[in-house]
Formats: sequence, structure tokens, C-alpha cells
Amino acid sequence: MKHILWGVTALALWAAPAGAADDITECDRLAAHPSDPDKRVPGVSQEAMNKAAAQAACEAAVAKDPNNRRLRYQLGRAYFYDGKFDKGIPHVEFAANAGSSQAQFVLGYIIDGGQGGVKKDPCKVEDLWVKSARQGRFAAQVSYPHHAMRGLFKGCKLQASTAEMGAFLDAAKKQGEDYYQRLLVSILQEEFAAYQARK
Amino acid sequence: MTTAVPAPVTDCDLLAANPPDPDRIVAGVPRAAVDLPRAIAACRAAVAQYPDEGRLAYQLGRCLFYAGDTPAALDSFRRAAALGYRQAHFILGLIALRRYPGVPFDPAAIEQHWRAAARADHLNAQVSYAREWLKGAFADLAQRAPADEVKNFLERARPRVDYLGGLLVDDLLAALAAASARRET
Repeated sequence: MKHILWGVTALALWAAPAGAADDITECDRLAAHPSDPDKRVPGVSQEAMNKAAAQAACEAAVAKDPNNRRLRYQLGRAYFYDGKFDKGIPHVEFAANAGSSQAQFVLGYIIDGGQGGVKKDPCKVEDLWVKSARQGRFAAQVSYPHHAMRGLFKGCKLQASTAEMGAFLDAAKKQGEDYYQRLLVSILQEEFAAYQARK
Repeated sequence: MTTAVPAPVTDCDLLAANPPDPDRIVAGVPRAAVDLPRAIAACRAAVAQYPDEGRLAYQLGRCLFYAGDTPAALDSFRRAAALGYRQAHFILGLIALRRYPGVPFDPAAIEQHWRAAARADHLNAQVSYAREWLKGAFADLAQRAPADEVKNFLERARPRVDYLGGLLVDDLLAALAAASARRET
């Protein structure tokens, strides 16, 4: 897949919101991401996922509840880990447009790295990550200022002000789960002080 | 690890293993959930039974440190480090860095312990050693690692980290390359 399809924002109007009172499915048990704020179960790591079973369970769950952003993200995740980017991207894209902060971060990550042949587009990454960061997703709160300070969003409209980027890092500092996450945030905060002074 | 055959799972492991310790043999207990009196008693008994097992000495040190008995904790961590337990080396470096009460800031101790842990492939030590090396914390130490060894630490760490860890390691590698280029010009 060379291009990401966009323009399905309207789907967000009728997609299931986080915390909707839908049932926990086999798709949740087999494919939930441990860091997804929408998850309904603890989640499984990439290494622990039974990809074929997760794909089957999530296809079935999505067939029953096609507008559920959590299930759509999880189906996309199951495909990505199996190297099936063409199959996975539409589901992650749906979830991102439906407001999933996890899907917004992951889609940005895929575009940022040009994974699976996806066309790199820093401005789309900026847009996805600022949305994810504003919803409190740790990885986006770290990645957005990291890329902005290094000029990796050059030519894009920076939607987050310098003050907001500082706030992202302050919020991330409270969320860091392990040693190196906290180390990364503290390094970025030091860099940010210099970046702020240059502004 | 410190012995050819690690000591079996003991109550000390079940009550005091640290989840981020790469050489723990059970899932581990987060700090807030450690029952300190029971864990200290279990670990003292385990250390007495398996005096050559660094894992148990480290876990005893962990509990003593949480209980506020820093001198006894340091003794236990040093015992574990002397037995080659890499997590104990990492923690001793961290304690020397963070200026805990009664523990002076000691760049030589940080350098010695983190380098030992990094050489043993302790991920956090590899990243932390590079970070402090680049900050100049070891600049006055004749025995500090050469740039090539620091690079090697980061290159060995890189495949074992996730996306965010990759940002950190890549930034450190770039900073190391820039520092090397500055030295050459």
C-alpha cells in the first residue's frame, strides 16, 4: 500500500466511543494492546499474540460490531504483527478517525517509519500525534515534542504551541512506566528547556 | 548470573523479586506491593541458605533499601555485585548518581558499576552509561570506557528496545557520533 486513504472523519460520528458498554470479546482477549486506553482486558504483547486466532476472532467481532473503534484497532493490530499491512491499515485508520488515541499514535508511527510501503508524510504524523497527545497517550506526548524539536515536522503547521509541548512532556513524566521511559522524558525535558529559550 | 545452577525459587523470590530485574526467576512484586517484614525475613533466610546466589542478596538489598536501612542495603547490593549480579551493579550505580541521604555522589562508582552491568548486557545500564558518558560525568576518570565501547553498548541495546526506547538509543548514538566528530576536528 503506497497511500493512506483519508477523509472518513464522518465515521467518528457513529463509531463506538471508548468505554462503550459493549461486551468483552475473544478479540479483546487475543488482541488488546496493553497500553491502549480503550482496552477492556489487560492485553497481550506482540510476542504473546496468537496472530491467526486473533485475526479470526477480531474479524468475527468486527463483523458483528463494525463501528467499534476498539475492535477495529485490534483487528488492524493482529494483521500488522503478521506483516499484513494492506489488510490492517484500513482498520487502524478507521479507529484513528473514530478518536482512538492508540490508533492515532500507531498510524502516525507507521507513516513516520514508512512501514509496509506506506508513504511517509510528516504532516499527517503531526496531525495524528497531536490528537493522540491531547488525549493523554504517553507515546504521542513523548514522540510529538521529540520530532518537533528535531525539525521532523518541518513544513507542517505545528498545531501544538511550545507551551503545549511542554505540557505534553510534563504529563508524560507522570506516566512513564519504566526506567528508560522516564530517562527519555527527562532528556527531552532538558532539550525542551533549550528549545524553549530559542523560541 | 552468579552460579552455574541458580538457587531454586524461594520465598525471597516470591516476595521480593523486582519486575525489571532481567535475571529474576519469577514475575516479581512491584515496590508498593512488597510486604517488607515478611520479605526481609524470607530473603535473610534464603541468603543464609544460598550464600553464593547473587539474586537473593540483591533481593534482600532491595527490601532493606525500601525499609530505609540504606547501609545494610548497600552491603547486600555490594555482596550481590561481587557475585556478578548485574542488576545489583546497576542499582549501585543508580544510588551513587541520585544522591540518596548518606550516599555521596560518586562518578567513579557510577562508572564502575554501570560499565560492569553494561558489559553483562544489562539494558538500562547500557543506556544509562552512554547518557552519563555523553554528559561528561566520567570525563575526569582515566578508566572510563572509550567511545567505541559506549557505541557498542548502544548497538547491543538497540534491538531489545521498543519504539520509544529506539528514540532514546538513536538519539544517544547520534550524540555520540557528533561528539566523536567534534573530537576529530
